[in-house]
This record gives sequence, C-alpha cells and structure tokens, in this order.
Amino acid sequence: MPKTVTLYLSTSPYSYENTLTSARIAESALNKGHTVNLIASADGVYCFLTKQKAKGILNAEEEFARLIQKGLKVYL
Amino acid sequence: MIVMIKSAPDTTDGALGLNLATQSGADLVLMQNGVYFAQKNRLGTFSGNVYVMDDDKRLRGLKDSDLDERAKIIDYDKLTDIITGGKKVTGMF
Amino acid sequence: MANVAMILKRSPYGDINAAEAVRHALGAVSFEMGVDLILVDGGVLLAKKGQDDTGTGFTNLESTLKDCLEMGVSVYADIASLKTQQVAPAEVLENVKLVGSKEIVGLVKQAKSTMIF
Repeated sequence: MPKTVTLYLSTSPYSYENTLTSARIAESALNKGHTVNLIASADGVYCFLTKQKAKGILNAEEEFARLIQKGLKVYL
Repeated sequence: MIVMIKSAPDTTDGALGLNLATQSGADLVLMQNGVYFAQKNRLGTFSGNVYVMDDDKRLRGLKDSDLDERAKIIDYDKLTDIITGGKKVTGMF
Repeated sequence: MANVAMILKRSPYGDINAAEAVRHALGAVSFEMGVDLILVDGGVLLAKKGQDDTGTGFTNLESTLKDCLEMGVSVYADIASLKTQQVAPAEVLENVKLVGSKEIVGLVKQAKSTMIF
C-alpha cells in the first residue's frame, strides 16, 4: 500500500553525505510508488539553487531536478 | 521502533542513538558513518535487529568478517520497506 | 622539512573533510611544497584498504590517497587511533607510516604551517 515518506534535509549540498542519502531514499521510495516529500530547511535550501557547477561529485541541482520529474515534492 | 544512526561511534549523536535503541528495545538502521557501529564489540548490550546500508559499508572498506554477526546488509529498496513498514522511525542520529 | 602539516581528524565520506584534505594535499605537492598528511582519530579510516565506491556516486578516497602517496605526500597514521577504529596494521595502505603521538608532535612542530580538517 502506498505511503507518504517525508524527508528533512538541513545541510548544505556538498559538505555532508546527507544529500546523497536523501536522494537515494527518495528515489527508492518513488520507484515503489510512495509519495515522497522533502522539506529543505536551514542550509538544505542551497541544494535547490540553480546554476550549480559541481562536477566529479553528485550535482545536487541535477539530481533533485531529476527526482522532481519523477514525482518528488519539495518544500523550502 | 526503528532508530537510524548516521554518526560514528565516537560521536555524542552516535552514542545517543545507540543508547535510545538499547533502552527502548528498538531495531537499528546504520548508515553513513553509523555503519562503524556494526563492527564487532561496538553494540554493547543492544539486542535488536541490526540493518547496515551496503553502499555505505562497502565505501568505507568494511568487510562482512569485520561485522557483528547480527548485521543484516540492506540496500535502499529494503530500507524503504523498513521505513514504510509501519514501525515508528526515529532519527537520524 | 615539510612546509605544511595537514591533520585529518574526520572519517571519510560522512562529510567533506577527508576529500578536502587529500585535494589540498595534492594541490600543495603539485606546487612542490612538502606535505605531511597526518591521520588521527577517525581520519585513520581514510587509509583503510578495500574501499569500494561501485554504484555509490562517491569518489573513491582510497585511490585519491594512493595518488597523494605517488605524488610525494608523506602520509602518517596514528597507531592509537588505528586501534580505537579497529583497523589492523595489515589493513593500512602500503607506504603509510604508522606513528605514535610523540612523532606526530614532532611533525607538527617542524611544519611551517598546519591545516586541520
């Protein structure tokens, strides 16, 4: 039965492992048909800035944009 | 209840998470630096189930032989099933 | 004599400190500075063999540390920290020197400047 998973992300995109962990959990839950909310607060909001230039590391903007297309609901 | 720990054993947050899980009879999900709790002799009197994220364990060079015999290795799909399985989820420490 | 002593206290992957330490160490040696990279506390886990980044999206920091060694960075791991972190000497990358606190103090004292990660 589909459920709602709500993630809370409060750290900046490239200083901690939390960005990748959140993205992976969100993607897995979306793939299983659950509703996924992500609440970004404090430095977590930086994950959703446009024109990020990160290379050689997960680009938070690109990754979350991809997940939003898959149904991720983001609240800042 | 399920307690999720992402902090290493030598941190206050990590120790707090383990203590909460031990005192409440919860199961543990270990991820990020929390996977080091799955090494032998790090769980003290904790007696519940221990789930360890495979990606995070492999990334840190931890071998299965390094781990507590209760450790169950899981991927993100299994983690999603645990999170949505009905038990209260507390964390992440 | 090393120009810079870089001390890494944080374990790899959970935050950016280990990646930053090896990045700056590589940058410094490429400018022909002498670099001592000193691993203490959780930082010694950077030197653990067998890190597998397959499918994780992370840069393998074991490989980057090997690059540091090949480029001439001197890497030291604190013996007491290795014990605390349950890393046996045989699990430590080749050419990483195992040292005690007295030797670490000497390295920091010798260095012209120190960076802590």
